[in-house]
Amino acid sequence: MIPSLFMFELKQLLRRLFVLAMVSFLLGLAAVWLYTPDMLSKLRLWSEEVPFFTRLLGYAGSANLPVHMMGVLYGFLLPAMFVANAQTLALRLVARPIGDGRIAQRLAAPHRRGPIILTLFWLVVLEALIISLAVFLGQVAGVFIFLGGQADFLALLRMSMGLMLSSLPAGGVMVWVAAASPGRISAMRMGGLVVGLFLGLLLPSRLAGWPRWLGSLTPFSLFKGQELIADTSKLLLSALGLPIALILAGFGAWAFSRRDL
Amino acid sequence: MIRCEGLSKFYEGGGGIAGLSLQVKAGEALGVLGPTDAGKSTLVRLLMGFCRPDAGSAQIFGKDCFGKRHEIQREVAYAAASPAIESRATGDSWLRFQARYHGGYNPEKARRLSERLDIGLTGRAISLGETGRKKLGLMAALMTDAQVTILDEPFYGLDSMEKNALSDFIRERRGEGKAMLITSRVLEEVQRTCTQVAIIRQGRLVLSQPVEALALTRQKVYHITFKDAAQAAAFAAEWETAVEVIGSRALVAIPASPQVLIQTLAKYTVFDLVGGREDSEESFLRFHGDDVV
Repeated sequence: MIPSLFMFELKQLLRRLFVLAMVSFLLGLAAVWLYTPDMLSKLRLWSEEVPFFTRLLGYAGSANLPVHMMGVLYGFLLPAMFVANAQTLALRLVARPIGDGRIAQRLAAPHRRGPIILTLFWLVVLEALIISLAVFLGQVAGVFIFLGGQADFLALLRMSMGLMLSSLPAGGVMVWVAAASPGRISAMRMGGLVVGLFLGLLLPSRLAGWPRWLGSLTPFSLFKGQELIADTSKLLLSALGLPIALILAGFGAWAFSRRDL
Repeated sequence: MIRCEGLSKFYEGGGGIAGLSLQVKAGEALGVLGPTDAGKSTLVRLLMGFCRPDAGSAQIFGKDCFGKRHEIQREVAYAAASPAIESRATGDSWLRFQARYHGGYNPEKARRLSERLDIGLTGRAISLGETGRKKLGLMAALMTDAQVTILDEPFYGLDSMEKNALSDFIRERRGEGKAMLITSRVLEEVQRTCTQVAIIRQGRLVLSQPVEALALTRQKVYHITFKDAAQAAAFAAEWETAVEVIGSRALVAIPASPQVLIQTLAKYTVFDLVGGREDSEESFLRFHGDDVV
């Protein structure tokens, strides 16, 4: 990692990170609000009316707060947010600068190409971490506002961290795509395809009649939400997301090292 | 310090360079002249290691510019023709980042550069305009003590005061024994700052020589006024090459002694004969013909 590059790019991202943190916080807060008695009854009614849709999104009831969170946040919303943000950030940090010459400016310095790409990858990781922490803080705030402060906060934290770690390979793929694509538009298309593929495999795998192994083709198969509620050791499985992401970003760094600018 | 041997790079849509060989030693400044799309920027990209050559080699300090780029770059200062700068970054924050990221920062040089080039450091890059960003890019390159400096079209877009200041900095840098490679479309800029000139046309080296020698290659131009248009036309038919006729006047360019011209003119009634050496811009245009944009 190149500290000066990391800090400079981080400063350029502050506004984006602030907006994302606010949105994530509100998502966490809203998810707890949906656990209040009035909203729960409406949610149950809705899930009975459109069972296909709720099953597709991963909603499996609200037996307790963490299970409720699995359905309303970790089933679809947050995975989609993580993947989409990884794509837009990789485009912003890698593909667009390749196109407009900023990456060439980065190369006019005594740094290898690989570490430049890996430094930008760590910013993708940082953004995912900020999103998951903001979601957790939103949940904590929601618990104090709507539920009188009674909840298993550690379970919520484990789930947030678990999903974040599981989503990191998506960031690695996006950095790889952005570093290897000939231009911004092709990177955008390819990245969009990856987003579609991940979500397109994840969602149907929950439906009756569809093979469950489809979900294991996505990085989110590393996230065992239900088990994380009680078992910290399941975080180790999610933590595999980081080395996998590093390997994928490494492929991006390798492709970038060989390409013309 | 800089050496290219048979350097070639081709692009699918045309352009690039073919078989370029040149070298720049310590204390020398090579001005690479050529019209738009002549291959100047391709040469710079190859020297900076942004792309790998299709044939030949590009070396700085004897190291391959692509394969050993990261080893070379600490001692290379570079300014792009249109530097890409983060739109939200202020000039000051961008330069501080460049100083930390590249290393070799000389604060005294930075101070003098910002004064002479009148660089706005507090505004965001997006509000600086093309010229402002260009000056920032030049400052980032020239504020280092790197042994090799590569400037892509450094004068383009600057006003005359800024051009003078930049020329001073380039000459000063050359005086410190540093090697420089500067691309330009304007001969006068190269004459003011460089010791060597290389002219590129359609990716090929047309001419490479010391700047002083450029004056010797200039032709002599004669404006001749004949008695009438018929005589001018008759002279043009006899002279055949490098002659332009407008009514009763003819313009002749000759590379050497006017002896033959005088002998030829003896047969005609000449009202006026004005001669002189073509200026450097005309000389440059002669090498490029219709390519110059």
